[in-house]
Amino acid sequence: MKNILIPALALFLTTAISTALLGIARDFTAAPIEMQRKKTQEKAMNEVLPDASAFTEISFSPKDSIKSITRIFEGEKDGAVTGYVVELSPSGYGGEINMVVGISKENNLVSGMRILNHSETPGLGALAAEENFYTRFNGKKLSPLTVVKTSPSADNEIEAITASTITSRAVTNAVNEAIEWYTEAVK
Amino acid sequence: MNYTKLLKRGIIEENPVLVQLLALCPLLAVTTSAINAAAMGLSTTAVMICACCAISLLRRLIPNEVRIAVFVVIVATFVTLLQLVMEAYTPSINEALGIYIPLIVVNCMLFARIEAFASKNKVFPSAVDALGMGIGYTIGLLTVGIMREFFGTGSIFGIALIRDPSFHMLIMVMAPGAFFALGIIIMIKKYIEIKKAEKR
Repeated sequence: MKNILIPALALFLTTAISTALLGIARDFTAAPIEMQRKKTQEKAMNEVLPDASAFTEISFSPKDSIKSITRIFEGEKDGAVTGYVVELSPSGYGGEINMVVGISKENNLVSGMRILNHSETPGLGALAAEENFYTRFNGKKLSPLTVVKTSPSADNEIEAITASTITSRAVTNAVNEAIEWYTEAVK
Repeated sequence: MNYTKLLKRGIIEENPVLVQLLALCPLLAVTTSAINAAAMGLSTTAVMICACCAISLLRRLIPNEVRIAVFVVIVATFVTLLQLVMEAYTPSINEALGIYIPLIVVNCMLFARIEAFASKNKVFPSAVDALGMGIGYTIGLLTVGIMREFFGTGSIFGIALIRDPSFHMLIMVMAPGAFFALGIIIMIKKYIEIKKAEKR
């Protein structure tokens, strides 16, 4: 019995002390981490909706077809609403993808997409966060987009990242949800 | 215990990257630029020194049957601490290294040092050993990183040196390039060592 108790105790103490240490560290770093997240969020919002100087969160009616939407912000400049930033968290290949989609009210187009956080495969799905992929959504009209594996032949087609169809589809479907919300709630 | 010799061992004779060929997976991934290579090397060194010291301090208390599990928990705790600190205070490096920071936990070089040295020696020698291996690791990563960044994109540490795109060999920033660069650097190191031995 003793030769089971002692190893078990050692394991228990190790994990208990480690968890306590990590808990303390988390408390200490929670504020700066939150600040960093806010900064990245703000930067992304400004990038996806460039002609807005202030963002205010608005409420929306949740629906099954737009279940990835987490928050929606109204962008305004000089007192007029210039567009919206939709924040979504669709399920990607490796976990949740936190992203924002900008929709410009003036042009009725998708003004940009940025990925804030993801756990996609490095070198494959992770490329969705890079300029080469996120610029594919710039200027898209507000109709459902589809993912194609070859060069797009129509305006509503988005070229997938090679060998990362699941990630590409997850992001594109999220953009479609943003488009759907906008066309129903605003237009 | 000759500490200088112990330190040198990790840098030259038993360099984890250039001699032991350990931890090649993170090598492939983060040596696409010199600055990422340096950041990874320093992060791993920091974790390794902390983990080796902690385990060395506890070496008489850890029962043999559960030692691997305990080592893993201790290493994982230090890596998580590093991750929290980096996420809070160095977000750009955190983003650049991405998923490779948590992967430090499974870096076999760490466990090789813990099993071979830290679990059997006193704290100060363990710290020196970890430091030596860490410096060797960083040098290994840096040399590969500089080579890949220079031949792949014409810059070093982000400073563009050769802007002519026909000079940039794209394969150097992809996986095969990592192996090419590593092979060449090992070859150069061996050549220098053989020449030095011949002189004696």
